[in-house]
Amino acid sequence: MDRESRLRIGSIHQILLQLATGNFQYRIERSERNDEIEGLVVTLNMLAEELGDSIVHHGRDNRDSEILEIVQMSFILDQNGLIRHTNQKGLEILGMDWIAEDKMAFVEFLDSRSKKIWKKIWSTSEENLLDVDVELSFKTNSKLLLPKKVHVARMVGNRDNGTLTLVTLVHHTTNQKKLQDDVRDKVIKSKKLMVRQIESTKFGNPKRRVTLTQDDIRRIRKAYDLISKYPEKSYSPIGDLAVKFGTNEFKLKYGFRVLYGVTVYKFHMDARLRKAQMMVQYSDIAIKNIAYRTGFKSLAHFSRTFKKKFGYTPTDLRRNLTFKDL
Amino acid sequence: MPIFKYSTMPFQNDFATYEFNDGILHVRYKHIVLEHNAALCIVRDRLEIQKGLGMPVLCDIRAVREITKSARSYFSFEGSTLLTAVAFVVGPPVSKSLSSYYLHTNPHAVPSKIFVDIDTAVKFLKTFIQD
Repeated sequence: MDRESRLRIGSIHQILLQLATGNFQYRIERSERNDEIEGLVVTLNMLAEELGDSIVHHGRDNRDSEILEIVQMSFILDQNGLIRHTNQKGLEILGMDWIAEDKMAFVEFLDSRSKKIWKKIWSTSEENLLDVDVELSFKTNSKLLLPKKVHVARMVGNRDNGTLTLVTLVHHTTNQKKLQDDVRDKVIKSKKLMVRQIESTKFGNPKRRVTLTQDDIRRIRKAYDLISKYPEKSYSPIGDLAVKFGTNEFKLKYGFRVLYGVTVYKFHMDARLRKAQMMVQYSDIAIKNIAYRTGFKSLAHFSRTFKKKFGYTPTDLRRNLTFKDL
Repeated sequence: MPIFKYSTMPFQNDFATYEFNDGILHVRYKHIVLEHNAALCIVRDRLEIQKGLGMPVLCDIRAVREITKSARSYFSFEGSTLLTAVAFVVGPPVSKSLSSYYLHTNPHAVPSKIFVDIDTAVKFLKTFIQD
């Protein structure tokens, strides 16, 4: 195996280790090759992205378990784009060794694609205000990429030391120690991992605990797929939908919220409205028929619900706007 | 603003070229990373070209490098509007991995298959041409 292939395989090992310890923020830097390793890299990057999203959302529904902590990285750059200051977390996450005398160029921490984006932003003349959100991928010392939405702001005020630029980013990460302690405590207490009940939901007693098995999750996923595919159909009563997939109403409602962060009802309604919106914009089907086709019993109900979601009625959209105008 | 309905005159935006051929819309993606805004633009232009007609679409994604999660989600939901079937033409392994992952993880309401050559893809799509 040549050196480059070894390095690429090394990155795959690295990301697998990161995934194994709950760090879903990293990505493998892509190459222009079209070979088996690159195919694997593509799949792993998408998997990391998928897992990252699910853990953030899972964390939102499980605030009490304190799985997540949010770390903010900040960089203060001088007029030449060199890093003058950064916080300790920035050093840790990027694996930088800070040597006080050594000024590092911020751009050197970016992958090639982000470098181009950065140079374009940076070339904005000094007089212009720079205040933008942009997605950049940082290179870490493990050779993996860390894609992040960052805010870049050129600071105004005293210019004795030249113009300064502040780069800020928020990093979601798992607090491994806390997570592991948490899991261990739960295992010791109950001999099995319990899924935490969301507090203050309408699904009954907040102290009631539910265990979702792999089979339950598969069933809930099937219900999700069915609603996504055929949003125009009626799934009421939800109990019948649950029975169809071999689960019960409580588990379906609860599991849907835990897995997708939304109620079955809201997800279904949103899916119907999104479908209707596309039909209003891009077909000449009468709005009344669109209402029926997306499962509304009356035009009035459809228009009202549509307006509540999008801020304009379907007729407004059809009459006055094209998508490009929005 | 695309103007053709049944002509074979190609139309293009920053992300793809569109060509209508024998009842099938051919969308050839450029060498890009498919992000959310690109997905919006690609779907919008496709729907404007289709003028409200449902039709099978051939997506030649051999040059695509990456598809982000929000783009995948948009393609799978809003992006299925006015489709009767989809054939992905891929160049293994990279675009094959992209399309396999997409079809495996996103619900799709219309028949969708992966092909490595255009002729077989067209043969599959021809059965979905509406009168």
